[in-house]
Amino acid sequence: MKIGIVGFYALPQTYDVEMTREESVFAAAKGALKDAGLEREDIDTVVSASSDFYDGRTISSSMLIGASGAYLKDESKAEEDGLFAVLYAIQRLRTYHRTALVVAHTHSWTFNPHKVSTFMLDPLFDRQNELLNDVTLAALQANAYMHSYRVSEEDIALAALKNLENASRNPLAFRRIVGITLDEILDSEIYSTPIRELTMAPCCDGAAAVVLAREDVIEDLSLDAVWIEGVGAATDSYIRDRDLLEMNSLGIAAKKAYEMSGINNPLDEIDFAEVNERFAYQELMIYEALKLCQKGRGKYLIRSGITERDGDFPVNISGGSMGGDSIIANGLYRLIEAAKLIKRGFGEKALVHSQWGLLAQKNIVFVLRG
Amino acid sequence: MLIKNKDMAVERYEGFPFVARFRWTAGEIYEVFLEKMKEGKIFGARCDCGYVVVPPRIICPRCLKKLDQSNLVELPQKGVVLSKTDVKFKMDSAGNFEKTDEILVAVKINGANSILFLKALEPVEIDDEVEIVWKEEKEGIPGDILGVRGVKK
Amino acid sequence: MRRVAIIGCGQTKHGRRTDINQAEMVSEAVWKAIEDAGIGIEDVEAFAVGNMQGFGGIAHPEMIFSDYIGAFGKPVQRVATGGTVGGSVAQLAYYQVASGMFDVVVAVAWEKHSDSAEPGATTGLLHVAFANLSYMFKKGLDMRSFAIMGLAGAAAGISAYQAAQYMAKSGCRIDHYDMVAAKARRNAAKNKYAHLKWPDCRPEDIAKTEMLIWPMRFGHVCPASDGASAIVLASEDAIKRLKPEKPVAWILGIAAYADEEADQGESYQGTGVLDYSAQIGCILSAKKAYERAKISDPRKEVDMAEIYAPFPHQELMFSEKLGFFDEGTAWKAVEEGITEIDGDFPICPSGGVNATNAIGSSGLQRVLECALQIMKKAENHQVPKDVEVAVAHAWGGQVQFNTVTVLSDKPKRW
Repeated sequence: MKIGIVGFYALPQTYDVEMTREESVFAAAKGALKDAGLEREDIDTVVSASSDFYDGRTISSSMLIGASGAYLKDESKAEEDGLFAVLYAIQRLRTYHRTALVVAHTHSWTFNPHKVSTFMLDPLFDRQNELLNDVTLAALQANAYMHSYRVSEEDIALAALKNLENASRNPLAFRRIVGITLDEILDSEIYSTPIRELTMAPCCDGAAAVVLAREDVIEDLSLDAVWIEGVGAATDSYIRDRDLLEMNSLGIAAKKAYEMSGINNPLDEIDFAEVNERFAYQELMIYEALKLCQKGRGKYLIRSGITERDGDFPVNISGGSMGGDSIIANGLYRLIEAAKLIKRGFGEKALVHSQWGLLAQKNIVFVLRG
Repeated sequence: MLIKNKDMAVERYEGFPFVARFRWTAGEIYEVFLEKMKEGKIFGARCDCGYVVVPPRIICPRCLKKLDQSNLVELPQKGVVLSKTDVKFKMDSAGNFEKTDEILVAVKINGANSILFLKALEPVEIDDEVEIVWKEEKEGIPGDILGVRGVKK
Repeated sequence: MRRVAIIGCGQTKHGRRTDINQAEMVSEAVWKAIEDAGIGIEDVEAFAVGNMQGFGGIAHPEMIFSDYIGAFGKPVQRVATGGTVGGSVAQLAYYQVASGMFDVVVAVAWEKHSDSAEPGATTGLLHVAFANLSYMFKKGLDMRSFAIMGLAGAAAGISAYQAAQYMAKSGCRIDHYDMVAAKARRNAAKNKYAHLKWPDCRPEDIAKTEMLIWPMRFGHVCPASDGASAIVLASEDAIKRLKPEKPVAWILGIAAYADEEADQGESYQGTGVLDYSAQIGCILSAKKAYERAKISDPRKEVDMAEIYAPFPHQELMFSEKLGFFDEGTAWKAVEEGITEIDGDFPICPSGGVNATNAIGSSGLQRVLECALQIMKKAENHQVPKDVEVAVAHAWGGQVQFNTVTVLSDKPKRW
């Protein structure tokens, strides 16, 4: 039973937004329904995504029932990146339900997300280290990666440059620096070597929603759909007991998604990708885990221009997370950007990726087809 | 059984007439780890499959076999730097950024498979051998380890 | 759509567990469930997890626990729906298998209240109350009054109001609440995993306890327990392949309808629930779950229920919404002993949430206990009658989220 994306809507990402979360979620949900040409009554199930810690409130979804259109509907929520809510929605659609609405949000201005990342650390040992957080952990992984594979700061900055250039053209992006240069990136403030202001994603406010439906409904109602051909997800070990140089769980997730969608050679058979690179160096490691190139060779993909917007395999035409990271909503932004591009005829098959947890402990991959 | 952490100050924000804190249970095997720390020793747990996890825990992270106090092994206080970073920022309990200039390292302790994330008390490079530096007065808390420093060759 | 059954159950002893840490507690339940199912960790393809992280103070704790429960390399999906999170976790696991995506999954839900330094569930409840009710500052409430209101127990506050409403509508008396609470503690005494055990508890014993907020007595209030519950779910084909020797509990139908927030008469969206005892979400969930399970007359076809009732009035109220008794009459059934362990329609033979409340675990426990009863594995609190169909229910949030799960000893009903 195939599942398709029949509507979507994402709010422009911003910071210190002048909307309550309920208003943001409402706008996203309404927008997606309008885009799909459906009414609230047509939706069988709603899966929302929000995080108690990032929202600063336990049961973060409890005030969102009305806003997400879930009033008196069969609903649930995922408490992690919105793409996991899409995965859950697919599971629901393959069982009882014919149509589903997925909405995700985070207002980063509520509380510093980097501080929240420290709450994911083992409270008995790692959290006692005041220097440890998602940024410094990423810095450690980046340095290990650079050291092992002789990747330079410039290699990484080029990935950031590509994405920031792309973001400057994207009205939904938060960080749009028109005319951004490599020097600006390499001169930007250091948070923790080698991570700089412009080589890490800026946390921002965002809300996005997608409407999904089963193929029989899509046929009956003659809806336009972007099909979900494959999906895969996996989790890695906690930071102390995993290989810093491997994105194991991404490799496993990608393999599953490829198998499901009959992809043998992703670089050839897929047209473009939207990935969640919370830190620019991660994009190189992501290329490798996605089997777009061999281990340690991500820098060659960057330098060759293959992943530029006019290259053979564009990655993050939207600007990716370098353009804005609305945490829980990040994955949905990636999905929506990819779906938009497919609908515009930019390509036929796309790969969508998002991550969750310190050092991308969890990963989820979708393969879309127009 | 409680974990004591005197470094985690209770903050009273203006106008909040209450306090809400956490105090995590350590578990038996971790308590032993802390007791040994008080003596200036680092203990891990060795599984039959060969994996040595530190701090010790009740399940092997590789083969999922159950571990207990009989699996405890003392580890040498030296290790190798897997990675390092010069950290320029910290955050206070409200999440406000503060400037700092410290070094964080990922260390693979000799004889163990796990990675420990610790402060480096002096500049070190990847692949350097380092050793644990203890506080004078130990209390049996993670803070007893001040950090690591390079091993004099 | 594939048929799905629970093939193994595991729980920790619930109570104040300062002997094990959160990771150890979760892994204890998971490994017990895997062992009970007679499978190996290599057979498990995915995990469904959930807890209310604000209470335990760790964000997305399953990231730390993944190594403890053998989840590395496998997909882990997390849900968080307030009190019903355990029920939602069980339902997520059901969808994971019924959708055809996975053959064997483990669902685990837990809570460790003792990791909070404040008494009971205070830290977590403040985390709920503070953020969700902070709009009251706009209405002129000052910080000190707000803190008192929040500390008085956000959930207890709504529930007391709800208990009063139910009493007014149904004509029951506070004695009936005492009876239900006493039954919970008596049943819990037979359940080796339960928290508040009181073997000969009588309604008079409950009535002697201090009145907190009318009509809620101290003896009516659930404890803040630590505990984890886990179940293993498998598809029909997987069951044939793995060939468990023991009986299984089939999941016939589920539903989870949400109402809007049932508190303070106003929410952020400018609407309000006037009657917290109306519980339309529960009525719709039950209706849909029965429809999916092909149950047309719940009173005749269902043998017992595990209802999520941290406060005794909720057992009465929800048993009516779930269709077991006519509106406003459940208290009569209690008087007649119908809901006792050996009664015609046992409710919460495990002692229920009133005797054991580890928020995350509680919702899953309702499903788990029904499964135990069907498989005849409930040991000392096994109901004497044959259980062919059991219903597990849970509520969450501001008494607005609902999960209803119908289980049976057979894969389908004719």
